[in-house]
Amino acid sequence: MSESALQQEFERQLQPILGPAFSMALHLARDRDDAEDVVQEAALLAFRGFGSFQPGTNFKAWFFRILTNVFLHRYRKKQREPQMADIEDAPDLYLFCRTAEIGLHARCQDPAGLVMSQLTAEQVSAAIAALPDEYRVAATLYFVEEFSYQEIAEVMECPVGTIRSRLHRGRKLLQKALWRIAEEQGIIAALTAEVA
Amino acid sequence: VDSYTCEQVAQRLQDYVDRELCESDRERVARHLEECAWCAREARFESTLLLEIRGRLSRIEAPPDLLRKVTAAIDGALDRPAGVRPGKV
Repeated sequence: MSESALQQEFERQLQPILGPAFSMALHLARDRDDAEDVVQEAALLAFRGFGSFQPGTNFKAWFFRILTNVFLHRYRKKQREPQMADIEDAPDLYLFCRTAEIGLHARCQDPAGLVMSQLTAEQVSAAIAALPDEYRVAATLYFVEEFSYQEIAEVMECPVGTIRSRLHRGRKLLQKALWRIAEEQGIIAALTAEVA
Repeated sequence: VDSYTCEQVAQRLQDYVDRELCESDRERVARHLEECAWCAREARFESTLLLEIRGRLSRIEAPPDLLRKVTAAIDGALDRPAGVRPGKV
């Protein structure tokens, strides 16, 4: 294929996923200019490697893998790896248990909806952004892009079981973070007072 | 199809909510949820939470000129004047 034909084919495949790619980049980078830079760099790298892309395979997963790598390379947090104790510390169904403890389940048909309705998009986004990188990327692909476990595994080049585990742990951390934000904002105190 | 126990459902609840279970597993979990009010509450809670989180994190539109910027960057990398598109005279 000539260079021009290759470029045309690349842009034909890129165009429909550019919107989702920008959205993903913005959820990760949390800054519009940074997100544009990440998408542009990823597109250039992808174009340069397009000759090695296997036609008929998942172009979106392939491009998102490059996008994710660009993001991680540029912005990888200079933080210590999460202490396993921090993660194991959060029990399964963390928010379910905490909302039950303050009596929400007894008086409300939809305790999850009630708590979440008090949180803003920015607070939820910040809670995901605060996750350790590998949980954050998996959670963003899952919650924002609604990728399947298999697709996330393709993007992150991991076995599906690893993705399942990351989403499981990431969700526990996220629930814990959302509860902490709700406590800090006085939301839990207000809900508890209503129950009493 | 036999239903699962509460413990077996707890081990599969995330996959169930995420629609990642195979059909037979899904049926066995669903059958248990019909019979066990407590597990059904947990499943409802987690499903609602998933929808609420997704609702808060909806897609953000890309700037309208992003495609132009990306193609210009590729043109630049190919040392081709911007605006001169391949295949066009």
